[in-house]
Amino acid sequence: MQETGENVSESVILPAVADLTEAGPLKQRLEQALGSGIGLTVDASAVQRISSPCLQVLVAGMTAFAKAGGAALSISNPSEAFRETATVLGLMNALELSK
Amino acid sequence: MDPMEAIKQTYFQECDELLLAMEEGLIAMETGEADSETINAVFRAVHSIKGGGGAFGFEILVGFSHVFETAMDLVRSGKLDPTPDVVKVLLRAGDKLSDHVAAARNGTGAAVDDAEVKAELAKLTGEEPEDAGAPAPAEFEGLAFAPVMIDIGDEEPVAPPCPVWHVRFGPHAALYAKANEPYLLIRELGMLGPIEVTADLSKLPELSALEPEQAYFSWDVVVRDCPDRTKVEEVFEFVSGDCDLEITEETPEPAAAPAMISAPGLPSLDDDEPAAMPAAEAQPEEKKVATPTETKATTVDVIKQTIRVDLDKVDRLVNLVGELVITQAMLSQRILDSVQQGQTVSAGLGELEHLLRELQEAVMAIRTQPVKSVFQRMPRLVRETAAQTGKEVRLEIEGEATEVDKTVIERLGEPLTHMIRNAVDHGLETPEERVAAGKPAEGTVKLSAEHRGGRIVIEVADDGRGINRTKVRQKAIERGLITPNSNLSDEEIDNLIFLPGFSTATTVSNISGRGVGLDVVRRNIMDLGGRITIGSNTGKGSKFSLTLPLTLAVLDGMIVAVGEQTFVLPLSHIIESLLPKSSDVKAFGSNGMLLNVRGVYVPLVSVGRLLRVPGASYDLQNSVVILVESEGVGRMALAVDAIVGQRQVVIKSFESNIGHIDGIAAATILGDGRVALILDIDGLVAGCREGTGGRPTEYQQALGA
Repeated sequence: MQETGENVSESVILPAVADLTEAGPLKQRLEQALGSGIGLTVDASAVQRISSPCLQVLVAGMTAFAKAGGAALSISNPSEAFRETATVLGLMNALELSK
Repeated sequence: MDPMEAIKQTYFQECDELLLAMEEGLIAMETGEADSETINAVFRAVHSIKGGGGAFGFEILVGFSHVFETAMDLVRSGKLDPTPDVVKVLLRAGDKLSDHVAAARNGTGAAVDDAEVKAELAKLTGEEPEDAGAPAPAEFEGLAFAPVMIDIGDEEPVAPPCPVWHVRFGPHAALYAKANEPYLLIRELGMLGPIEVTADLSKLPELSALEPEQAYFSWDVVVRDCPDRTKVEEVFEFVSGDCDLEITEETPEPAAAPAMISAPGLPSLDDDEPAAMPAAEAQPEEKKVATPTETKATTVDVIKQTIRVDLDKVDRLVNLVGELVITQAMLSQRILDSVQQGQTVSAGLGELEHLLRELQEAVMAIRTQPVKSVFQRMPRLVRETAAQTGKEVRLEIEGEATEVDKTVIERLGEPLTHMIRNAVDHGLETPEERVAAGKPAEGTVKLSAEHRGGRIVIEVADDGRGINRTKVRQKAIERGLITPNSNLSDEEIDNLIFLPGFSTATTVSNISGRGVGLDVVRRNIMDLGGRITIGSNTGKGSKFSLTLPLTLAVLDGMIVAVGEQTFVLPLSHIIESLLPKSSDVKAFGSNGMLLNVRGVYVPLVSVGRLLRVPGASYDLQNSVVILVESEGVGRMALAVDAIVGQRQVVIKSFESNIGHIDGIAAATILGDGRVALILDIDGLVAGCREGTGGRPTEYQQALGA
């Protein structure tokens, strides 16, 4: 998705267990990226468990980036567990993931 | 009791049951008999313990069960194959969980060393051992804890016209704080039937205004093909205080659901995802079951309705019925005495007696419990002992549904523990020795229970080396328990191992071998009015048999007369009764007496003299001798005036009113309304040993005459 060049996108890796305590740090990271106007790729390949609070942050992030225009937030390489959780919770569309 | 404390009590009672269910399920997994329902039951048990623990703020308990639950969840969803190694870790985790529960109950908190098991669990789940996110139950939220029944899988045949359930589920922040996760709940709904999920994102604020630990999402879930509303409710049972929940029934119309995600449409994502499957039947675990119907027949228990009743109340009932039986006996005696030609009266009285007996049996049955609760603890014991001794052991359990009085159950644990340990530590050989002897490396310990002739028989059998009689004999001589030239039968040699201070173990291990095992076992069993016997077959194994009364409230007794008094001797202690010839009685020392019973001399004691009963006959010619077996002293002959009969008596303990009296166990009320004392044979014998100092016995005079 980010084809333009080196500095336009940063990435953050979600931990294997993204539970309640990860929601705060994740939010900060998203806000930071949003503030700097740089796109952010959330690497969800390592996720084995993700909690709803983290997903709340991601969905809110999606909306926020879209509103700000320009740089985008995207989720890359979602693991099976991530997809499964998002699917069961009916959040695939909100997270802009294809089924 | 303050209400909180009472709820806590209930929680721990639930925990006991849940731990049992968990253990049972894990063992089924170990033996490969588990189906998905079993695995689910284990998961739910761990989950429920965690949930309740969270409500009471047992953080350590919750932390551990959380890791355990995660592992179970992976097994449940088919992501983690329950290989023997995995199940072993799970079993150990189960043991630790019991320890945690015990620690929480005793209020000792942090005493459980679970780091190793936790690390192994983490390895299974792929988490870092020190899980920073280990959920700390934030705060106590009202009465969030609700006792949860374990779902024993009462899979009803699905009725064709199924209602459609519309579930509106809005978690509160507390739900997340207690480490619950909507994903798991909704997935569980998906196991009830096909689901359609719509996430409601309308409450989600701007990113900047978002509180990371707040709850904003809520969900609408449509569940189809689930006939039972309670099943839907059960899914949310644990979080009911921490979320808004609305379950409504819709008439089964084709529900138009724009942008809804239909679970059955997902298999392309993932081919082994149970949540995505339309129904529980399609779960991958089911594949492991060779014949599902057969397994179900064994694992699906019939759900019985139960209530919890204070033991005090039951005891009062038992007591009253006992009184009723006595009054009935008294009354019929008097009626029959006064009415001479009372044909019709006596038929009625017979009927009454019959009914009362039945009533008494029914009331006694309230106090009975299956021995399962004790037997369930043994697999863990075997595992631990086997690990400590480096032996391979398989425990077979039979007849765990056999019922016996609660008091007996409670006091059965310790002797059984000793015997099982003994069987593993002393009975079984090491794997190498077994292979060398042409036996499978894995030893078997068999624990069984059955009713036999109004008593319960519990057997602990091993297929080990059997008792080494030469060694036992040699040891007994070393310890001065027998003389070198005593001539003992095999059976007598086997029984030497019950003597206090006896141990054949060459080294003292911390499991057994301190010589305090089997004599304690025997004492405990005899305290319960039981007997223990041993059978051994060199090279093939040994077998301990316990025979116990079904209840401690009623006793089979022999009624004897001594002077003006009537006494009851517990039948369990009596070997035989006989009429001695004076030529069989020999004086021993200055004041002791011995009775020659077919060539073996046993001490002879007069009950009348010992208890100083007025009017007792000291004339041996008029006495009956009852041969009894007592713990510690062995056989002993008791002389009484006459045997009145043999019957069941209701035990009336007087320890709470009068205190303990040496030589007397309790009292009972006889049919004619008289009070009779029940003799405590062991106490009596011990007392007589001390009391035989320097006084000439009347028996000697009788003999001299």
